[in-house]
Amino acid sequence: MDTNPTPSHQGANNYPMKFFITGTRRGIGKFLSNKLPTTQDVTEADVFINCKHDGFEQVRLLYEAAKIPGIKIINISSNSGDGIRNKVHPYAVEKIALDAANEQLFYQGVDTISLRFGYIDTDRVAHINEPKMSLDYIYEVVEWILIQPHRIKELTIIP
Amino acid sequence: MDTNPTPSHQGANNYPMKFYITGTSTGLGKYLSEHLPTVDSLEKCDVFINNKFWTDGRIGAPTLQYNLLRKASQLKNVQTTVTIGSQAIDWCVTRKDDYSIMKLALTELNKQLYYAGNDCTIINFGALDTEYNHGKDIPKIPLDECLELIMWILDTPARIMEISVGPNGHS
Repeated sequence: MDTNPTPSHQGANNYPMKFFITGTRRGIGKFLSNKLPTTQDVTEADVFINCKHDGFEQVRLLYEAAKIPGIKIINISSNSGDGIRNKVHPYAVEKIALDAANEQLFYQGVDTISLRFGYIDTDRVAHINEPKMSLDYIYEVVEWILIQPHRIKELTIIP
Repeated sequence: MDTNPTPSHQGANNYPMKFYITGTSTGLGKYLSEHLPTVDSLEKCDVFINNKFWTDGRIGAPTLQYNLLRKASQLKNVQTTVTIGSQAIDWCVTRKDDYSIMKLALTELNKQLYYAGNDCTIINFGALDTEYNHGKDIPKIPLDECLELIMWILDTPARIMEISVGPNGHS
């Protein structure tokens, strides 16, 4: 896989990679799918952005994608698991499961990362009055990951 | 929002911040001290690179890194702390060594301070291309790429709590 994609100022749609992105109807997935060249067939993708949260479905999709030779996987996770003892919160548990699966596969040699974000400025958390990262910034982080020469297992980042 | 840090080839020594780096006689610390503008004490720095792993050998005693991370969090002059952790934390259940446990304690302290509002990052590296690893037939991360990563952390507008980087190939 080419780890030196075209820099963003030349236009992300000129990336030599194809992206398969889940959750493209809204939020991060929608934003990224408007910026990156996508394919509807994950087996044709160079990069799988595992974005849509739906229970433990992200874990299942991660395991499936890991079977595709040479694919790079970017899991959109959350830092919410760091506060798991504070309240009953299935979302946090599901994201921890995703992080654990990511770690397991990373050490099996899969090029997979968990992006453990804090609040991002999307409709889903519009009602929460906390600092949030912009979608443009999330896109820049994804771009940065794509050009890294080494595999990154996880990145935790909040505003 | 500037997410394009000064590339190392332009000279990180022109960076406007002053760095205090521990463990500068060998390895990553030495490399960083040769490429970043440094000062000689924690009390004079803007950025603290908490690099030197040192323990007095007593079981359960905090490491130098642990003590300095806590101290740095209490100093107003220290704007950012970057602690050099290890991917060994992912193996502390299956290994019988103190190193991984001590690095895990460091990671947890960093997390505690981060959620208290500190700008502190821990980088859990896999094997680095240092003297220590010379002769070992394993993938290694070049030191210039470590510097690039640190510069990105310092320049990105959000706070980064933890990043885990392994060399290409199996870690």
